[in-house]
Amino acid sequence: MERFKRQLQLPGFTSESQLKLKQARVLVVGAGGLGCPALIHLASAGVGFITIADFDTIDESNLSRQWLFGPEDMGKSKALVAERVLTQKFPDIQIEVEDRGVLQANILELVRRHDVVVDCTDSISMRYMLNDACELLDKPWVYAGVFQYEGQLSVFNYSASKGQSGNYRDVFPFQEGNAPVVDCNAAGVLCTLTGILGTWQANEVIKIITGIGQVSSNRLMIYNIFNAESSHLLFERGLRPDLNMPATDEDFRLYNYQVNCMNDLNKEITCRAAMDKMLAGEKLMWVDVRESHEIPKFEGIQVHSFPLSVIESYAPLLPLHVKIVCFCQSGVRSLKAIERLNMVRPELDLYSLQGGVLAWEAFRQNQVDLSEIMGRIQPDSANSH
Amino acid sequence: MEVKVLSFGNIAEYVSPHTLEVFEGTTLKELRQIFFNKYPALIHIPFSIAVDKVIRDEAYIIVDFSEVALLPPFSGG
Repeated sequence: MERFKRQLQLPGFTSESQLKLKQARVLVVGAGGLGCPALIHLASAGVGFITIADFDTIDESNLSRQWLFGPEDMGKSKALVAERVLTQKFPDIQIEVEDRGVLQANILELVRRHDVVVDCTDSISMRYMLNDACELLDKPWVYAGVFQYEGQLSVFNYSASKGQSGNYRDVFPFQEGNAPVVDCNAAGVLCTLTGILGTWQANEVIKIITGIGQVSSNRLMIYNIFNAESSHLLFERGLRPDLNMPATDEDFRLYNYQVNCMNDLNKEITCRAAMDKMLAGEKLMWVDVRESHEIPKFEGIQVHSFPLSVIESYAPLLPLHVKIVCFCQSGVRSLKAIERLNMVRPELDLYSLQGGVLAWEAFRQNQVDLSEIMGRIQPDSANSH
Repeated sequence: MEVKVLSFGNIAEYVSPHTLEVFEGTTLKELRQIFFNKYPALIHIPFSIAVDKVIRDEAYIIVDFSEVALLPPFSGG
């Protein structure tokens, strides 16, 4: 107990609090920027059992803020190296490793064996998964997320508030099959922000386990390290009447947690991928951005001719909610076209056909049954004038 | 009537803090549409809206001098 003497001197923090920490089982999902500080503070405070779940390996760009790792660890499993370092420093605590990370297939079993879950991931779809698993199993979880100089933190499904604690979907709704498009861009991050947020997460876990202090439930904290401003936004359970959450373990395992990344918008699409989308019944609008005299013509599919030289004048005619595939001779001008269209109508779902008409011709020649395939594609209004 | 607009995360790249003139009785659903018309890029970004520091649903009606904050989820970690 000498080790924990200073925290035991705190008002309200008793030997019973310390025992609760020792007996607690905490699952930390992600051993990266948030996970490293969260793990070291949980272990320092005396949490007796920690599971580290991370599928990732260490690379050089991690070292600036993931300080459980050193240059000699590059290429190794984050979860295994974190376990080694923590075991050396804190031999009294028990650590388990799940180096496959958290998957839809193993998450319920993992969450079930723990008292508190800490979300140190960098994935929105993982957060919806953690949220729903914790709701199903009635476990509290501590969320943090960062974007550039800003961080968010909240405690969801805090069991002590007797069914009144809101969850991630109350703050950010999610409809299966109508997934949000999120900014998955690996935006820059300063080591201090993840250090602060990860430490803050460990702090919430300590309060949840010991029952001391106020837990940040039904309250989202936002901290901006650039201008040193903080905001606290309140929310309540049941804010979104139609949360569309899986109600059983079986529903959970079948649920589609896929979110779409904004980075995937306005990108190149291959002939094969475009064809697969049409065969799957998706409507595509084909736009030829070459000048009207250019050959060969695009065979097999109805197209709109909107030359690059005047592409902006056609922008108002382009529909929402339809993938628009621009193409040219070789795929260079169509990239410019989507860039220019994106400037005037960023809400459009634009693609550039990789390799252009030349690639399409080659693709067609390799498709023995192209006419048969084309016959299976239903004509739709988006492809007609 | 006037509302004060704040934004967080990647929405701050499109929407700077400003004051906006809206009709009385405007709901958050209608306000969202106003933002989509003004900043089409927001159509792709999921965000919640807090009014005077409380996250509200789409039917909520804003009042004069409200402070509305546009809040996307943060993906990094």
